[in-house]
Amino acid sequence: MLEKKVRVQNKLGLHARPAALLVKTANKFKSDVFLTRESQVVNGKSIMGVMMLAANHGSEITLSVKGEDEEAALAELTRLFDNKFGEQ
Amino acid sequence: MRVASVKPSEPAAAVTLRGVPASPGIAIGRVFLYSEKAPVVEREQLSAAEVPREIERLRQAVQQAQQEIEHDQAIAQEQAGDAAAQIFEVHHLILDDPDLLPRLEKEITTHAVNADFAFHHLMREYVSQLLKQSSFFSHRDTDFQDVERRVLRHLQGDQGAYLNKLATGAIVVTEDLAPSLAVLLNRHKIRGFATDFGGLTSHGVILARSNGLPAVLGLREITKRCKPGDRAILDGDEGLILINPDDATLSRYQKRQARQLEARSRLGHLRDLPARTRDGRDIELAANLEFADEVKLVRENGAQGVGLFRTEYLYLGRAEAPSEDLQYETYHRIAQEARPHPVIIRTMDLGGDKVPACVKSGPEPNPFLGWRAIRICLDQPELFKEQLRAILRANVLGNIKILLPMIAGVDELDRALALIEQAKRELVKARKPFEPDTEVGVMIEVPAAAMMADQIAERVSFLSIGTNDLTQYAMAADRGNARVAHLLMGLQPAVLRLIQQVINAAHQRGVWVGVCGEMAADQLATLLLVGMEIDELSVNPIEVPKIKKIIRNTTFQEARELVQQVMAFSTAREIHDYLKPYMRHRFKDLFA
Repeated sequence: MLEKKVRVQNKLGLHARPAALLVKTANKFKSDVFLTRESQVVNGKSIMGVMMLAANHGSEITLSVKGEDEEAALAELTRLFDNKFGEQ
Repeated sequence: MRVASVKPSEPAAAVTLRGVPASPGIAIGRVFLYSEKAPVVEREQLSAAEVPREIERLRQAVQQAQQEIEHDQAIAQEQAGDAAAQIFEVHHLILDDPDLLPRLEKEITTHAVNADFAFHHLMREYVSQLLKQSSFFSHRDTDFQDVERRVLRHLQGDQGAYLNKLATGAIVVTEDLAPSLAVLLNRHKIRGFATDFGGLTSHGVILARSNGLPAVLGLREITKRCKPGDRAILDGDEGLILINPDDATLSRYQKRQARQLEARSRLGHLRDLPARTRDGRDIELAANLEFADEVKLVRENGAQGVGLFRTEYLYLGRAEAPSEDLQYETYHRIAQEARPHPVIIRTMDLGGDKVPACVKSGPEPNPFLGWRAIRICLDQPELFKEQLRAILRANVLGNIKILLPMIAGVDELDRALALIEQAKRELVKARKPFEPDTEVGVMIEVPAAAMMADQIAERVSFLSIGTNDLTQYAMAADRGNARVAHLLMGLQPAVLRLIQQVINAAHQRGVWVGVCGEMAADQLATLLLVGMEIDELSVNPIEVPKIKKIIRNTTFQEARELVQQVMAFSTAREIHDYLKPYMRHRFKDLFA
């Protein structure tokens, strides 16, 4: 299993649109994806779960990826955060 | 809400409401009342034996809702692009959520409740949890509501037939236009729509305009004041709806509608003809646009490209500035549709009465004399450069030009031009393709800029005169103040002189000049502007045929003589009293 800490950098946080992007990306991979914020853990392939994190701008999230394509999945998910989900 | 008082001379109807005219034209038809409220959900206690059937029913409803969403998404994509389609993406993922069905099935099994209640309950739980956790989600709970309505409709056996019940030719009356509703409406042959609430930027309005459907918004309580099947007249020009009008009113509106349709078809043959005077002088006749979706109106009305694309609506009504990529897509799409004709994109003209969330401005005592347009851009260069980069990138076909609004003098212009150069360097660094030779023009709407037009023209490729602001600033009269409105009426000689001066100064520097304000669409002013040697006129798409007709039926010679005569007058009243009968005589059918 791979783990990585990322930060929510877009101003509006993980609202519906970036959450949708994240879930769609996670679903491209076979690996399981989990997101942890503070003590809350959610399924990265569930838009409800990701939105329930209510991760606003600046919050720190731990990405945990486990499976045969975990490296590629983690890289692509990290890139989403780094690119601010194409927002501000 | 204002209920129009019914004087004998006014239209007589059982109910007359006045709202905001959102899309012009007249529609006559029967009311179709569409309620946006979620269906009523009752909790039913099931026996254990009924549970498996209930779960099957739920699965089917979710599956049908999914198919419906995919269908709507495809339509939205086709008609309104990625941004609209993304709304449905979220809805799709909510129903696709791996946790959704297991949670619902558990709820139904453990409590032996009906699927409707279980679904409603779960959505409520999600929304309340979201609201508890963070306030920034509050505007997003409409997604959950939309999804819930859709699934419940299928659970309750509606099978999506709800809108198929729409009689052809209905006027749809609704509380507000949910984006999904607007797309659906577009599939049916409806005649127009009226709403209690809703802003001019809503998607439904854009679709109404681009399809030529009349629409009136902000009628506050129209849904409560009419019944399904009521006869209704929708007046999208005046922003009125008349429910159950009397026969005289109905026949008056029928005649007006017929006249509008006839005028439109009579002018239709002009579409592919140039805006050329009889003695061979060509005027570039372009269209003003507010929304990318209106772009098809440009060709339909025979305009030569887009003389003014107002970018404000990309910024208004959203919490953050539109991303560079989103802007790029919008501009690129317009440029592609308009080619080979030019598309002039005006950088954000925000402030004044248009303040989006991404610009942090406080209330100002004189907003129109305050921090707006280029002034904001020069103070917030990052916001400005983001737009500039998007425009420069979108100009792959080479037909896009940049227009800078509210320039008051050469120093501001130089700073703006420097930021454009900086934006280009950023694109080079980012290795993104763009058009380095994108032409830049300046909007002349501040009298100080009109006086400096010669020096401004030396630095750019074209000038575009914004007559509304130029008049307001030259006459020192607030457009929103009824007590000084007389100062802005008609064609003010001082403003005509300013315009003439700008045109002459630009031509001496070999630079072309256009007019994109309301004066360009004022039929009384068309001959004058032609005679003053204007090169381009940009008007609302619908006005294009009328203006073209005037141009094609005059000569440059006639127009010049008219200018000479009019410039000798001292007041707007004298000009009006001379021009009105003159134009009426010359263009009888247009001034009927």
